[in-house]
Amino acid sequence: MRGERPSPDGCKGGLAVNIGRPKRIIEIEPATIPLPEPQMPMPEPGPAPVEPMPLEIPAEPPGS
Amino acid sequence: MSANVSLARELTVGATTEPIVAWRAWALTGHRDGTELLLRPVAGRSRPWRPMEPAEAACKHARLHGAPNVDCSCGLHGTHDVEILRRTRCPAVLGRVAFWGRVIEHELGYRAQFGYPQRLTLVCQFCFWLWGPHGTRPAVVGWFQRDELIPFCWPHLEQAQRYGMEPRRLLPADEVDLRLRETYAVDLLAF
Repeated sequence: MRGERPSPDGCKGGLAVNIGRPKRIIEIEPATIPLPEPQMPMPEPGPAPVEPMPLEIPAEPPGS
Repeated sequence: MSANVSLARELTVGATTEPIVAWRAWALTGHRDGTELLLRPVAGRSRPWRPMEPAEAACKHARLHGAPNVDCSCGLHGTHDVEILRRTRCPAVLGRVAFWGRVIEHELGYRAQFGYPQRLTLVCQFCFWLWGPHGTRPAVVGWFQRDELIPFCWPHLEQAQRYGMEPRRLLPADEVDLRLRETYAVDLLAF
């Protein structure tokens, strides 16, 4: 009775749909686990950047 | 053949480094304000799929075998085709899921050791049963006892209410959908 044996009580879960008989076993060791990257916390807004004060260049050098 | 002979002896075993991607449906729970969203198996009282950590299969018979076991029905289930999920009991969320670890491939799907959703979307379960994955966009999400969340389109909400299925609160489906994807950090499943 290949694939037709009843499951042990209490061991039912999943989708409640029949996915048919087992065909093969696959051992998957992914190079990277398919999980999302941990999200970086948003940086708190700091003080607004201060614009540099324009240098006032004298029109004529002193003493000229 | 004796019924006590394990099927595992008849199956081939392969190895790969690429996770398998399958279709899956979940139930959904959350607080009345739409926070603390959790994907849950639609059947049984298995453990929820927690955000940002892999779901791991477990079996009541863990002392006898690890999950998934060839001779049991345990494991995280997924399907090859989305259409078969229309037979699922009360799906609230439809998605694509990555499986890895020990995976048993079946004729119509998989049972896996580890899994994490890759793409998600809310579905009106009544539209999904009737018409499949297309045109199942819900308008609202009903909040019920025990924090159960059920998405509805407007016509099916009215129909459900006529039969006494009265949500205690309604939430905008778009907001719950977005929050679900942010919670699990996954993309929208688009058709």
